[in-house]
Amino acid sequence: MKLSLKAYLLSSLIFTPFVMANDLPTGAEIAEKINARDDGISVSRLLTMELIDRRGKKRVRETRGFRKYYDDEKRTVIHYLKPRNVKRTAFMTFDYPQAKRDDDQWLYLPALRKVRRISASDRGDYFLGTDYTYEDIKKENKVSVEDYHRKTLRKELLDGFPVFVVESTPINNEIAKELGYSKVVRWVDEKIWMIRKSEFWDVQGNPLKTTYSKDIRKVQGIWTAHRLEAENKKTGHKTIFIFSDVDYKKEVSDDLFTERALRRGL
Amino acid sequence: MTCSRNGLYGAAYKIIFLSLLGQCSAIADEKNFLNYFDSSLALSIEAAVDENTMQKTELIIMPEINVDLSNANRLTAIARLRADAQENIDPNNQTEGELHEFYWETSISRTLLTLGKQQIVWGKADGLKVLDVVNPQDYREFILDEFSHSRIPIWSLNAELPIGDSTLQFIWLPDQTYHKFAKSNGLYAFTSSNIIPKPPPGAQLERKGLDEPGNRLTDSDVGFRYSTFMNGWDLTLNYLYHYVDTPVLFRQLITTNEGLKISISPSYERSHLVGGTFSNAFGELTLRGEVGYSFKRYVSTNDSKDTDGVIQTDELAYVLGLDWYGISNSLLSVQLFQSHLLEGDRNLIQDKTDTTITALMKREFMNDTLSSELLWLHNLNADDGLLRPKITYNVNDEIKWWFGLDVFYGDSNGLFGQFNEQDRIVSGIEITI
Repeated sequence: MKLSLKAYLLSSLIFTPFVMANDLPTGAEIAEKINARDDGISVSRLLTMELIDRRGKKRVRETRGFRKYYDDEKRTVIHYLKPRNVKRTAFMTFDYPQAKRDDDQWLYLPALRKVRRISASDRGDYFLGTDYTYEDIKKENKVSVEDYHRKTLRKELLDGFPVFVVESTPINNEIAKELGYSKVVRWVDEKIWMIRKSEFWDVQGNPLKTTYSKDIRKVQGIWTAHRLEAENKKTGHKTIFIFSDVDYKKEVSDDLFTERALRRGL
Repeated sequence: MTCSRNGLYGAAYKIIFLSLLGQCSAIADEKNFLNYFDSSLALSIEAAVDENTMQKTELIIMPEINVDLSNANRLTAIARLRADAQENIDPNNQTEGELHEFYWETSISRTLLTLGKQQIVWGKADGLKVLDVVNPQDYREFILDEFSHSRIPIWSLNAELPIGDSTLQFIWLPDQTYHKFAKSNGLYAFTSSNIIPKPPPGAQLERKGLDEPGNRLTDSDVGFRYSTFMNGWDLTLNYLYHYVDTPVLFRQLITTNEGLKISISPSYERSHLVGGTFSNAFGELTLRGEVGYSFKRYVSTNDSKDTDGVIQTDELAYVLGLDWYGISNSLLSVQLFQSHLLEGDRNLIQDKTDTTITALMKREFMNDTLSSELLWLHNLNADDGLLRPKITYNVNDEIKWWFGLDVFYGDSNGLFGQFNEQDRIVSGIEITI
């Protein structure tokens, strides 16, 4: 009996890590779970952007954003409300489910008083002075399945939350160049499938930035990150997004996702 | 001209204020009026100096007020006060103040209405105008002022009616304001013989008064634009029945005892403009363009046998633009502009086909706080052009500083070359509160 207990304990010690590794979901499965997370059919919200340079000088923008799904097609629009130098700037994107179809993006620049069609392949460019790229903004705590190979590295605790650590590498150099990243490691909450932390490496393989999703709580039954932080390790620049007045039930008119609404502003 | 329009302005003010009265009383019942009220002030000082002259030391103050009367009603008022310490660009008009824009935006069902003094911008081209001719332009400083500043807001009605996923826009413009050109003693007065017909040597020149349309109803401009988004393409069809904002210089040759006398009778004339725009993105490239066909435009001729010094011709004009986003946080944009007069070979003062190319290189640095750009415009006919390097630094959200050069080159008969002596250094600061 004693022998068999020892053998059980020994075998447990030897085999448990393998069992745990086998129990880890694959990167693809985790990506699927992240993207399947309910984020409502539509949402209206205020977003305050704080842009802080390495010397601590802060610029603050107030925006109102709307997002709405049309089956698998996602439409997003962001209107700048303050300050005056960016007021009435507006950005709109149609994100299509077909991998081969380029997204459509428009930018309204009040100085030109024109809506400008912009290339969706600039998705690695930084969005209007923030440390988030156009792709980051568009994906909103979700991930692009087709752009990355993924592997699950481990499971650990992050700030007391159990998370899976997933490493993502772009499928080829062209995509890496487009995205501006050669590698991304994400800490994904195993219960609510929200990305709590991400680390990014630039195309040369140097550490680029770290992002966090914080103040995560339910709004109308939907897990919502109310504070996003990004810190660029190369420039020392930080971006903080603070979401408020988040409403998943408010009616979001289809007319908001039109060029005329972009020009007119809110 | 301004005085004659006071009645129209007064009527427009009344319509807007009476319509808003009901909204205002509703607001008064609410807890805090300030929730609906937003005001700001932009103050800019810009100096420009050329080899010999301080061209301008200009102060512009633009207070803006927005009042959100309800979700569907907003009133915007922007005043503009300008003072130039120098008397080189507009010697007779160094200070001016105006209600620059004043409009009421509302919606009836899904139709968006904008009523008042406003800018209505058509077209996809940057800096070149084919369809962006709804509002007149202030050319007091040629094209060196930003279009959003130099485009002259006019009293108009703008209705945008959704039709499915498309939009039908109707515009009505009873305001008969036209382009403003630099006075003959201004630095940027047009002197090119390709623009202003030159009298033969020794001839007397007589300029008669400007013949302006006088009836605000029958002489108003009207236009439509149908916009749609189809298979990734942004498409518009445009139509404008309007008075062309540049006067036609009708000429009469009179032989007198003292010799040849040339009498010029400037007059604004109507034209139909039909056109369209398109844009789409292909990978790193964005293709955009616009085309306009003007019926029966008047063009001056140097033909001394021509009875009135002008010929009528249709004009086809188009712009093709390519924007390349291949380098991070950068834009390289090139445009080809061409206009073609379909008739008239008799010594027209301008070429039948006129071609201009432009290139814009722009890059943002330091999280969009520092911006550099180089704009190049080159006319292939006259082989003249303009180079405009500029850097802009946003010190913070309230303070912006810029420094740039405006370098003209080419023959004095070219559109750009005529200002060859006006190359200048420009620097300015803008404070917004």
